[in-house]
Amino acid sequence: MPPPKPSESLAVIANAVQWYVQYSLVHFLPEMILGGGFLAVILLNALARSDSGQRTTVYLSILVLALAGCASAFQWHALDPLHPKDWKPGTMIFPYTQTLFAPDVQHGEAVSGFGMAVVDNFAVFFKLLVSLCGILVLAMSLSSRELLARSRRFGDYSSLLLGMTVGLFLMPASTDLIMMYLSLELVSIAGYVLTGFSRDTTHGPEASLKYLLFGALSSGLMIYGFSLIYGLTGATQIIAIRQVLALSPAAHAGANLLILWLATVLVLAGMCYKISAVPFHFWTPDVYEGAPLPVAAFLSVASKAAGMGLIIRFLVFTFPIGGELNLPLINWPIVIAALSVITMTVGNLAALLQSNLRRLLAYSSIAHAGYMLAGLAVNGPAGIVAIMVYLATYLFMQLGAFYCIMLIENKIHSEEIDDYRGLGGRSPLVASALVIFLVSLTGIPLTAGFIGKFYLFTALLTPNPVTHNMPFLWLAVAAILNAIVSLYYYLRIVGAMFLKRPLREAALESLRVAGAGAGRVAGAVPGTGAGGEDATGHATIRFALSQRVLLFAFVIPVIALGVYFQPLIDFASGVMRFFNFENIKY
Amino acid sequence: MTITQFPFLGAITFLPMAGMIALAFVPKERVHALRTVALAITLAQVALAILIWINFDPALAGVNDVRSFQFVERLPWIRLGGLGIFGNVAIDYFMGIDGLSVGLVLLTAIITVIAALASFSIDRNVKGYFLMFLLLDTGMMGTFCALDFFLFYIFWEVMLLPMYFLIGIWGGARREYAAMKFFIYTLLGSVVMLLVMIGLYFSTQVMLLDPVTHQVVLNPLSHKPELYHSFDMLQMMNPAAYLNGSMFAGIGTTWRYVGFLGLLFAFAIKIPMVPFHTWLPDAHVEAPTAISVLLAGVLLKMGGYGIIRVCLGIFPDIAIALSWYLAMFGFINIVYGAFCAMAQSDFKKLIAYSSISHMGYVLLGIAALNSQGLLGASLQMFNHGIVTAMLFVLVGVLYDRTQTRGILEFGGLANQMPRYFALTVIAFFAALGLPALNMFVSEAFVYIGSFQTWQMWTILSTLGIILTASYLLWTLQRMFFGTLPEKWIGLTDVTPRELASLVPLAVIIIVLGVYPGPLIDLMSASVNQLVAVVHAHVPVSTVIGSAAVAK
Repeated sequence: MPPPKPSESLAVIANAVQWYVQYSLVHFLPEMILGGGFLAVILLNALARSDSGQRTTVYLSILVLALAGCASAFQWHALDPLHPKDWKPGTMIFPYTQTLFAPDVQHGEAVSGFGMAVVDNFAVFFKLLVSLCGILVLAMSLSSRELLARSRRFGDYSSLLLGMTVGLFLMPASTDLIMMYLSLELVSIAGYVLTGFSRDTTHGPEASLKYLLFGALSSGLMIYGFSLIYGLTGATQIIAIRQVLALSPAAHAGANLLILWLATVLVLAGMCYKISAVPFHFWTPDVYEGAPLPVAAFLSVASKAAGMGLIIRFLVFTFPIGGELNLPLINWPIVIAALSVITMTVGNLAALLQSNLRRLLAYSSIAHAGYMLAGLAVNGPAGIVAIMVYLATYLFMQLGAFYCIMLIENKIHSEEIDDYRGLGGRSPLVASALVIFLVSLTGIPLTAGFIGKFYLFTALLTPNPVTHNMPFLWLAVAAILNAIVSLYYYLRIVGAMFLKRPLREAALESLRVAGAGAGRVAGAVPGTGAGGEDATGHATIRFALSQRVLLFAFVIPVIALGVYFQPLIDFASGVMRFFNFENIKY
Repeated sequence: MTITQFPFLGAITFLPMAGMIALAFVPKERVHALRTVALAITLAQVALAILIWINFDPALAGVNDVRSFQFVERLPWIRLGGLGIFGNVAIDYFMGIDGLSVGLVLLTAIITVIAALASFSIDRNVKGYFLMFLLLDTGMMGTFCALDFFLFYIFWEVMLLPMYFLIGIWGGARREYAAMKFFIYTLLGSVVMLLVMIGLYFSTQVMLLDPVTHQVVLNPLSHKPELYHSFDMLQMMNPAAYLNGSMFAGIGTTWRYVGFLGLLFAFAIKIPMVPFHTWLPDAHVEAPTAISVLLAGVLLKMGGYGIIRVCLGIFPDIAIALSWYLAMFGFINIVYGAFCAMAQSDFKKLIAYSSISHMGYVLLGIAALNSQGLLGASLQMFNHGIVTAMLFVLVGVLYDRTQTRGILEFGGLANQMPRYFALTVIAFFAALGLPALNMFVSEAFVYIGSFQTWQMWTILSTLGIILTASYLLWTLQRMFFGTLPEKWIGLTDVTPRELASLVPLAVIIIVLGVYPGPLIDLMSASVNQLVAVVHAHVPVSTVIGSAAVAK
């Protein structure tokens, strides 16, 4: 066969490029927007070194995130309940096959090969969540004392955050072990830098180093697990892996099964690090303490959400249990259930002992990871919808709580619970908002947190349609007992703000009673030497209008979702009807 | 009968919330305006309650049949239909009252006014106080009106946070401990209720009427009637609505015992039933007067109401099976509460323990599972609400003047404060069940009812009458007779504002003692129906959605 003429090869290449653009790059638009925005922010960062210029980079990043979110929203595949046949399972992008130059297209969809990532409603949900979280966090950052201390570096900050978002967008969309690893590392590396961003504090470098060391260890474990899986199956694409496993179940018994178990556990180690599940949670309190508060907030919400998406995708796609594609090689639900109970219990019990709010929120976020894992243990659409609803509500309440703590920290320079005494009188608005967020984190009705918990318990108690058994009743009971424990430490904060008198006032009172020499002890009374607006100890704390407005951006969704949650449930169920367990076919 | 289209229940429930919005616009320095607005809201609530009372048809029974519920409001709230993940879901805004709840709605309206009047002595952060007060009010009223379990649960839980703040901010020395204990204890009960509620929700299925066309909703694909899971309490009482083989289906199964006990646990904490009562004395002693009034006058009744409405209605088989134990706990409450009361030297704590004792009659009456017993329990809830509210106001009157509640620090008050003495005598004699005062009627009904079923516990419980009489008379003797300590010589008698809250209660006590007919009439049809439902467990239609069309 004679070699093709140059013009013919050019046509083939042009054809391939066109094919790639048409069937892959189009679906990669949100990530490309983020990438382009990332470059634009770096450029602006280099050009505009003034304070206002640096603020502009934050605004630009917010715009980029909003655009990326809109682009993701257009990828949403609306489902007509009347025509379930028309539901598409999702679009694979970046297929790597022998057919690169001979694209196989049927009905306008690339069908051949296994892609690196997939665009489906599940991924879109997480992209929307992450971009919303990014926007809110960037808005928070503008008034963060820790970041303002280095306001000349806002450009660096926002470009890093955008870079991290690219990874977060890809994590729940990845369908290939390589892509999973790359996206997770992209998030981690940006995270290491962001964690140590506030150079001035003593905790920053420590946090960054701890995050890096734990991250390196767990991603090492994960990549080792990936390599074992690749060794067993010869594939890195999770659907290909599933097919290999399904075709030759006999080849994966005995020692091979043991290796497969080992590999799964190793992979889970890496992923659990991202969502800070026990026993890979040790970095969490230190990082939350050392990182600037907006960064901690971003890690606790966006990073956790994307990590949950990644775990769900990996386990449910690779080792489906039940349904048409039943592949009960690895009984992961029981592993996840055990992880869930341990995580929520350890998180809540440790949170009981904390006196620093950052560490307390860190442990409470560990506990929340435990609740979410409980939804995954259910191994069914109901559980995964519950996780998604939980994440959506968690976004507002957790970010809101962080925002309140940041606002208060800006003024009183402390996150100790004891220093929160009397805040209810000094700053009723922020203190009341914080109460709403904490109550929501506990899961009391009329707040979004209740809806998250309610759907979680509903999922856990969903009976088997045939036997009417409830296999996860015990998990629901464990979760409920944990919720009661969590009430105690959340209430401690509420109690400090509203029920207790300021420490200084109480101390002065006891001084008066004791009749001791006031001069000697005054220096020992906390808050006396803090200076600034705190010098008086009881002065009203005022916040700028923009800060109060942003506060309502958190409060309103928390209340609104608590009262009328139908749209959220419809939205999340739309994802799962589509990510139908009977129908994962590509 | 006139069926008024006006949404009375929605109005009476959410009026306090509207009041919260109004209060938010009053500057916090204008204390008097804040108090006036709050009082006006509660008075408007009483006006609505009276309208409800006038328009209420006592012949309609309610209980498990939506057609005979009154003032029904039903709006779809959450509807997840068409191939949903959780099955089809229907959560409704579903309110309605029958004879079991109408008395408690009236009681709540009355007690709230009394509490609002008693709140006038609050002078710290008045705005925050009344905001929380009104939120609590919405929660209380809603709990008695809700017929959708989800809605019931939300109202039930909405009360927790305001109560926590009301005890925790405006309470006494150990307020923080008491508030935390109250919150955690109650939440523990209600999360167990949540689990049972979800279990019931998965166990029942109903067909739904379209709110517009009044046709049964069909599945868009198969065109068959679509089955929905629903939180409709009335359907949970309906044996026909249970799915075959589901968790709570059948009669007397183990799961039904678990469900009954779970719900009972939640309600027993609220009543409070004796092993779960320890939060109550703490909460009462630390709470400000007005909040004690609400706590004892209304919140405790939710426990009794919950057992009657939910436990008996949904799990009648188990209620019958376990009623012996329920009667035993009733006896324990009556006698243990009375003994504890006798041992107190703190006036307020004494009243708190007497509440435990008196709520024991509610348990005993419920355990009888016959018309007299249940009527007695329902009457007892109303009467105890009135009497205990009066007692707590009286404690508050004395505490405001003296800053002490020690019984032993007083003596000879009868001459110093004659009007106070007279009112106290009325309340005390009502509490010890003197004939011609209201509590006699309800306790008599309880004893008549329970004697037919559980003779031993009834006979043993009569010990409670003697104990109650002795601790109350002893208290009366120690505080009002003998010589007045010198430090109390300047004590002033009851003021007009205090009279305004005490006299109406005294009037109710006497009127209902002499002529309890109107109150009994309100309740008897429903109570009879409830007894029939408990003993027969009658299935009705499983189509829900509209009161007018449902058959």
